Amino acid sequence: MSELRYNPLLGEWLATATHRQDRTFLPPADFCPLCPTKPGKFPTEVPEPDYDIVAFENRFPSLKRNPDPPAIESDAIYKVEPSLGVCEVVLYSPNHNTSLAAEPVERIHKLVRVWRDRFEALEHHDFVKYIFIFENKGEAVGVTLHHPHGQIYAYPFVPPVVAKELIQTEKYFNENRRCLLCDVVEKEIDFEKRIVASNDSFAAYIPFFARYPFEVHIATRGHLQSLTDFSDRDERDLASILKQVLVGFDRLFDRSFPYIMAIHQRPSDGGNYDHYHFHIEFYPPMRTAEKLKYLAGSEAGAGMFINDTLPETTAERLRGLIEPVEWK
Amino acid sequence: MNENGSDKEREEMHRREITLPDGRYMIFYTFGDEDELREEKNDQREDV
Repeated sequence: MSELRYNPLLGEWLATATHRQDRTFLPPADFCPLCPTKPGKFPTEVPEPDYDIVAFENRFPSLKRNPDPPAIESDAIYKVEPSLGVCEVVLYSPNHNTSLAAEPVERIHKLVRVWRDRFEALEHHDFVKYIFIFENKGEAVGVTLHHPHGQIYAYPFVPPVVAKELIQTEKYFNENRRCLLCDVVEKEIDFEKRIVASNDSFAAYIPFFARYPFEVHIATRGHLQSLTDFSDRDERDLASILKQVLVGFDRLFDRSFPYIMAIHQRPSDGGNYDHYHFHIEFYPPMRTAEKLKYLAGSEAGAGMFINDTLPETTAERLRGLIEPVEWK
Repeated sequence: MNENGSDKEREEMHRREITLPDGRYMIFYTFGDEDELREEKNDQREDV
């Protein structure tokens, strides 16, 4: 059973998806459903003996192109809608024992091009209002399959985090006739101490307002709203800076570093979002080699994060682990 | 070899879409010269 339910207290939609309780949970590597199907071996979800990068509809989606009607009817307080949308899985590599950080920059460049292609394709659905590309990496953030992969959700509404950013960036634009994130990026580059990496097209920094010790944002230096605005150079530079940041993450505690990666782009509802600015946000849960940052009372119950570290200090540490990328 | 790969030619991206038995779509992305990719795939099949 799957449907969208509206929270009138917060003005937000959430999805119920009871079938997801049955999804595959941390299977042994020999029975990974996202590996290619090898001759004579068990059939995985990918019916081919090899692949490069694959995108497909999630077998356990929370949003579907043709959803069933909701099991209950809406009323004045409790609004209910079908769980309309698309949930895709993107497999980064046929190799089970790798990660985006471990892959060569050339493969990350291919992935950036696939993200753009999926963004363009999903925008063609009239019901899609926002396309969210993301990755959950590591059991610490709730991963159920270790095979290197990301996901794409195409929502029938603009989700709340981005909606809030849109309000703030529009307000700043109306008051200053400038883009908020253009000014943030300029300020971070001038200040230098929170920058962890940069190139001609992107700046990666731990923001002044970081909620997690190693929360990294990667923003375009030019004023671009989505992957569809990217030049070939922008795509390559994004691959380069992603590689640098991800390798730096893995070096922090000498382990494959868990994170949530959230790509924030303009909505796909046909509106004018000139005030918005493309950026990627990483939320890594690790605050030390042994300790995780949990969302506790103040964070989960009141929405105010408490960061036990200073971005200026954590940025210096991460910056020291970042090296130039070499393309073959 | 350089810092951002800008000296490299942009490889062509190819998509091959299939429909899975339950109706879901799956898109295979490959990059490079299509003829070379086909030859590579044939070689792999012969190896199997």
